[in-house]
Amino acid sequence: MLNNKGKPKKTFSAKRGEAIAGWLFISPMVVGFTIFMFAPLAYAFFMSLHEWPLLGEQAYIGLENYRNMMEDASFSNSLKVTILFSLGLVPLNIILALFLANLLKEKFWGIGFFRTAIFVPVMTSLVVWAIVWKYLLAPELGFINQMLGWIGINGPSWLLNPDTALPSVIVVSVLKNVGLNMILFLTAMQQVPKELYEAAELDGANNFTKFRNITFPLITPTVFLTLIITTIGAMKIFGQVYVMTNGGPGESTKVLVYYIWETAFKLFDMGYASALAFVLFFILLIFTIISWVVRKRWVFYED
Amino acid sequence: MKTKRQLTFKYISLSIITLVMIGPLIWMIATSLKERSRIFTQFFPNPIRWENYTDVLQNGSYLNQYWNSIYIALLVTIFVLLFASMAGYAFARLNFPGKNIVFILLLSVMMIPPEVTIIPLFLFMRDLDLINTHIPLIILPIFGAPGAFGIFLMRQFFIALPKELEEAAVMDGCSRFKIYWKIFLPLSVPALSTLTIFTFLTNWDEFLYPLIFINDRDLMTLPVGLSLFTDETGTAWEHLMSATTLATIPLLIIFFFAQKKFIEGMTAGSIK
Amino acid sequence: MKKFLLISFMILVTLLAACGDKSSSDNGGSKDRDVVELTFTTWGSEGHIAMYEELLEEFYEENPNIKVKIESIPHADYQQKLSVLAAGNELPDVGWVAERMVPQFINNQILREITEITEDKEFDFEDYIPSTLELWQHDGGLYGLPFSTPPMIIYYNKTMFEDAGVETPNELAAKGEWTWEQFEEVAKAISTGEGVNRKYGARLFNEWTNFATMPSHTFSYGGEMFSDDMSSFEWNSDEGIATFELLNRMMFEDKSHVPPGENVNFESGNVGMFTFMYSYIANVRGITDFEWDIAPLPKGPEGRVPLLGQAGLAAFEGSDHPEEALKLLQFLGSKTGIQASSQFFVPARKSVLESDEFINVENNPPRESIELAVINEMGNGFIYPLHEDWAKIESEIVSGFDKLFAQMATPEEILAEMEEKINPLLQ
Repeated sequence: MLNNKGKPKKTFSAKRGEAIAGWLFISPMVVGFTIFMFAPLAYAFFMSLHEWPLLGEQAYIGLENYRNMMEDASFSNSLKVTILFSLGLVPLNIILALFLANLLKEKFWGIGFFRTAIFVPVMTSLVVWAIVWKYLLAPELGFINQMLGWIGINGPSWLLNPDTALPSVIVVSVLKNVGLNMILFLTAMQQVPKELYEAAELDGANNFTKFRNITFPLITPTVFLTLIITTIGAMKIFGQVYVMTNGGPGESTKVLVYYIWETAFKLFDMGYASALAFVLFFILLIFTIISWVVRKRWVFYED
Repeated sequence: MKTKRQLTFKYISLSIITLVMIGPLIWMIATSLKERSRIFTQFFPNPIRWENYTDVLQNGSYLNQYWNSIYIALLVTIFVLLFASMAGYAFARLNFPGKNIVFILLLSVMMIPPEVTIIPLFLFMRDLDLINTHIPLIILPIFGAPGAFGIFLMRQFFIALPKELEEAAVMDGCSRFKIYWKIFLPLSVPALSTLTIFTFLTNWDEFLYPLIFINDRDLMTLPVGLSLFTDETGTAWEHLMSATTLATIPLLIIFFFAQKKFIEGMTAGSIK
Repeated sequence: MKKFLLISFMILVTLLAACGDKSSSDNGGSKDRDVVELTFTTWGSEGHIAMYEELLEEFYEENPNIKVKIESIPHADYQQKLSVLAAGNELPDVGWVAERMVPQFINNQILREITEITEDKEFDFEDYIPSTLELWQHDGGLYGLPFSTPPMIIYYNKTMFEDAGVETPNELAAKGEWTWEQFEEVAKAISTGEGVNRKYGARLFNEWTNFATMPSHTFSYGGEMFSDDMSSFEWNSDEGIATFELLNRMMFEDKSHVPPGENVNFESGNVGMFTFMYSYIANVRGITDFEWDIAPLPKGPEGRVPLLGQAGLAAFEGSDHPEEALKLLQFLGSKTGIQASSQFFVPARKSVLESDEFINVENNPPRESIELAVINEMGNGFIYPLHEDWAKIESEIVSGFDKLFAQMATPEEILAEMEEKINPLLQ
């Protein structure tokens, strides 16, 4: 049922009809995106070629903003922090989501409660979620360290220590959003034909081999989606950092978008902020194109 | 024996993660009932101060903001469902020139931080005389990151459906639109449900657009309204938490009752 | 099926049309020439807005043709939003402006020159305390009227002092002994308990990124933070190091200061002395669990040097109704206007500052305390150091305090690093 052989040969006019239909189907999105996103995007690129104070006179300076980044230690630091953040968040998020989805895919007593519980953070406002965790992670009186104290562990000052601040923000962000990825995986897993599991059970497969040989390959389209979306989200992280650490201590959690926001709205340098944003844009674009090109090697159904 | 051990493992690991997930919610609810001076000194509220809720509800703008959040998120969701499923269908099932490039281009809007496009968007919306209206808050997400995500999600779903589905229909002479509407859309209910949850909740939490485009307290959405509880002297925790609790609990209840349908309910009609 | 599509599009189109209409009639001074609508933005709380709405009733009586719409912007996002509005020429007519926004706003010409409203005899401009106006004057013109000019004060928990049998800051001040040394001592003396139940003697930071109390200590000992012309960083001095060492001792040796990152607040009754602006008093008035009072900051050999906060009312460029906007500003800055806002803010008008209405707000501390802590200090304070690159400078200073809080470096190292990073920004 999954093979693609035996395609009927298409006539020229059928091909043309298909092409027209294709473009018609995507036209609402293409038109809307062009007006509301690509035009501003082009404008932002235009700004990045200027010395563009938020208020005041602009001047064309070519690639000067991009050249300035080479010597900007805050930029290289924020890029490093952003990549570290993503390297921490993406695998943790996806593995945890897969694990939870696998636990919650079949009915058992209390499943609705558990699914809802894991979804609670997703429904809580990001700002509130972050400030509550900021409070829970307080060094001495925070709930986490008090609990650690009961079992004799002297917890660190999570958000005040440059070594633990970034991991803390990563974990809080994973907890906030893992429910969304879990739902994606759950939906995908529901589409896996039950017969395949039954057959595997007859062959004596255990849970892990069932997951590795059946579930995972069949949900790779969703895994691919999740991987890209989660990476983009991680590279654009802002809210949690803004609320929990303000980029500190030092610059240990100053991610790129925080730096962009600071440059734009605290230093009023829209030109440089746009240039920074385009660097982020190109990094993500290259990442996406590479993932897109190599997807055929591991994603099911792509041909 | 083996299954029993597995079940125990399941319950234990789920209970741990559940604790971490709803711990903050419990603290939030507890705080929403505390007196201001006791917020950080007691765990359970004593005495219980229900007035925190009536205070928030009596604030004339809160219910307006609540309603704005709901209807904007709903409208965005409806349009994203429609447009994204159409586009996703085309990207997954039809061949047309430029397909891959256009797809990547559409995804690329997710990659630019809105902090830098907000200035051109603001100028644009100003020229259309749409400042202080809900239109930007509705249109921009449809044709922004949530829309792009929707296209991607729907494409990934449609691509996994068997080829035979439309081949038969094409032979029967159905139009492409009919195939999409009559065959693919009904099959995609699980994906549409997921997309509904995603789009609704990302919009429910959207901050930058309402902050920039809305000036009136009564036209604001909840996230901006909630941040008005913090001023230079600090945060009115008890009110922030009661306002947040009121905004979260109904969603939770809906999700609890709908999750089965959302996730698996429609599998009966789906492909086996 | 196509019907559904059609209907969806129609909904979208009608929506666009309907809301578009609404907005144009909202702003539409052009349609209805009789009533002019002005916008007035604040980051204030509901209490502030209620106060302004009541106050404006009086304004409407005199100006029946003007309506004022009060708009709120969250405090943390105020500057960002106003900047975007400025970039789009959509600024409000009148609004609050905080001190740190002033240099950039004046340099970029988005604040209107308002000298003309001060020429009105009835306005009694002389009533404004001259030192509060410096920030708003530029090249001989006036660009705003301060409505809140609070000196940094100490809120103290009288009950904690009584329980410990220690003299209160005001008692010490009466004897002329309220010094930073005494402050450190009494903070230690009134701290009790352990863990969750610990009561701390002091809290000098409201937010952990807000170090505004600390320069006062340095100044009291004759030190400086910056050179007078803002061309060099001077905090890396013996006096500066002493300031950081004081914090170090109180936080980590005596444990008499709330540990960094914690939320223990004054209202909980677990903080003996808390430094913040007078505007915090709205939160403190409701306290019933313990007795409290306010006091001035401690002094040093060079006297008492509290930070003077500044927030002002300004008219923005690009207003559609410039004349009416000035009328509103004049009203808000008049004696009546400042009187009304003085239930929350320290007024910059002498007549209001000394009036009974300012002092006798319900649940306020006694007159003597307000005189001692607030009124007498108006002339002693220092104003926030202002510089175009202040955001960068500030973030370096905050970084330094972060290191102190995490005990990662000594005061000497921290200040040396600050100097190294901040000096280039000042050149």
